[in-house]
Amino acid sequence: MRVLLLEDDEELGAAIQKSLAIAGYAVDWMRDAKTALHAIGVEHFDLLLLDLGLPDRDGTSVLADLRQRDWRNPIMVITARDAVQSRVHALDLGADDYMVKPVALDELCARVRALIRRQCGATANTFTLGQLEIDLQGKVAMLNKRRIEFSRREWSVLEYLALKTGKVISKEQLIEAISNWDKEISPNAIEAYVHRVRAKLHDSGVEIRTIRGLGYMLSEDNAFSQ
Amino acid sequence: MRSANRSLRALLLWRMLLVLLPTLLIGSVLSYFLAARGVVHAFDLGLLDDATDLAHQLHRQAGEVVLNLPADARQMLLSNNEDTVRYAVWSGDVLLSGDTALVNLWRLEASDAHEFRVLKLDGNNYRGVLLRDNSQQQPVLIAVVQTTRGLDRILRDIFGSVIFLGALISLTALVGVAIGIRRGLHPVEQLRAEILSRSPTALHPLEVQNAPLELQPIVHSINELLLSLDQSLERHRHFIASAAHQLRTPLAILSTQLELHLKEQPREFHAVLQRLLATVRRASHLSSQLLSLARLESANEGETPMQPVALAAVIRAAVANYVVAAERKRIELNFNIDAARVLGQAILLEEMIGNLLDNAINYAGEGAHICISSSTGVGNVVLTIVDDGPGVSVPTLAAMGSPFFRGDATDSKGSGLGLVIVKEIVRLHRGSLQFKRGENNRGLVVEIHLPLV
Repeated sequence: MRVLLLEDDEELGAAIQKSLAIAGYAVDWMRDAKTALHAIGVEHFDLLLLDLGLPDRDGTSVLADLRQRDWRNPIMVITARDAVQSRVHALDLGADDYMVKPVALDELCARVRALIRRQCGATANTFTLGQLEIDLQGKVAMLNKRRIEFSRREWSVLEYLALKTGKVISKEQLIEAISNWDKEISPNAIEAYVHRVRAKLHDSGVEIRTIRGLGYMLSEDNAFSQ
Repeated sequence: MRSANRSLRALLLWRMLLVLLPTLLIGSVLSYFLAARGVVHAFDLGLLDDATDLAHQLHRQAGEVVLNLPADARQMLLSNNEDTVRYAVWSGDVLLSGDTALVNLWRLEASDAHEFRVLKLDGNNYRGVLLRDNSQQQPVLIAVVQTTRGLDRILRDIFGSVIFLGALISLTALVGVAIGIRRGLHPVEQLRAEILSRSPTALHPLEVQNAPLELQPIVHSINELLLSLDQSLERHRHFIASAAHQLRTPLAILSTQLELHLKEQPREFHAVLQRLLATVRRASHLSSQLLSLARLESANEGETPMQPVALAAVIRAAVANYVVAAERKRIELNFNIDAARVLGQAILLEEMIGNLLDNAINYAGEGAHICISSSTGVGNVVLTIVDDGPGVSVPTLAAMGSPFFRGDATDSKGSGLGLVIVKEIVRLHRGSLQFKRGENNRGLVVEIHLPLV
């Protein structure tokens, strides 16, 4: 996975580049918008980390420019501007996520991972989650080289939650996502499916948490631990 | 500024003149006409006197009516400084005396004994009287006419005097009114001068006793404003002092930690750095909360753009960040959310719920239960966050939500700003916030009312 980091601060840029490299990403670090936009025009990047305060251009205009050009990969905005208006503005312009400086590097890595995974769900077929290797095309999950068997419905539950890792998903959302148009699934059935999937994910570094009254959340162990 | 906002003085003056000038004008016109009428009347009476005098000179001589006018009497009748007097006395068509040109110049109605008239003879203006005398056998008519040069001159004089007097009165009134207004507005000037001469920090109230009745409401409002400014300035001073103290604390800890650990062995650096990182995070959390609060406090209700927001979605987004922290303390999170939609800003509501959850997780203690529920009432939604932790004392309950108040907490984690931020967000959403004790005085209940869409 290749990440483009657009950040003019030397210290912060170096730290982000290093921690993403440790997490296994190839990071190209650029310090001004012109070079970065040129690079995006000629090369492929899976994700852009964008600082809004750039020396040559306002980051929001870079954001708008890229979405205008139909560049569809995830963009994560990192900025010192934490006013609600600027957050809303950036998200409106097509940013996928937003973090306010100073960023916790663990959290940044987790969020980058989530964004890339979400993108992969739409474009690529395989990704890792905890110790789990998930193949969306083949509808197969491997744990320590061993295949875990899932029924069709169980697989739908896992797939939906995995593509929205770290987000709370309500039971209704889950029902809507996996029901066929001719056959409604009951909330009780959903509970049963989740229960079974959870049992199969034991010791995989991936956990489905029940948040009573609100829904479910799939998370990697210690993904947000600080 | 002066042209856009008309001065009070100019306004008063203008209004006064609007009444005063027409009154003076009408007064002048009326007095002119009254005076003129008197003068013309006197002139006419003079003419009538002359005509009557002539009538007295009529005699009967050998059955014929004759006018017996001595030469000096005639002379007296016709003599005048500037005007020409002409007369004629006749009976039927027979001229008894005087000027033929006047005979039967106009007719007298049978019912009238005499009549005055304005006429023109040989290019001159005349005023005249025609009198009928019935003392003889047949009626005798007497006409006396006089040019109006003298009369016109007197009328012109009267007109001039009236104009002069009117102008004099107008001028006096103008000056009087201007001086009156200036005197009347003097207290306003005084007030202005007093406010202008104040230093920005002198926020003590203005003197009320000296102000006239009409200015007292203004002085009272200014005093109220001064009072609230004074209080808010005081609050800010206090806030800044506390904020400085709070910001210094993690820095002090940081430098102590650094000094202490500089003496340790290099292999322990990892643990040391962990601790330093925690301290730095605390400082940066505090400063971002301060910033967020400053921004919220300066925002006004109605200025923040609000949209319909599904409360459940906001809560789902807020909770994701606290699931791990809750699990670490074996705290069970429960939700009972209905499908309410409120008018608000999703990011702010998320921050509000996050702060409340953070508080509950930090203070409810290991193994506690936290329940967030919402129920829709008439026009509003009640959002309740309940925990079954040890709860708070009554004095603490009252002080919750004050800046930098940390209750019974002795740990170094909180900033004392979380609930203040919650309070501000509730205010911006035109909602209300209440802290209560739970059942058996245990736990804490936070109740928030938010207006429905």
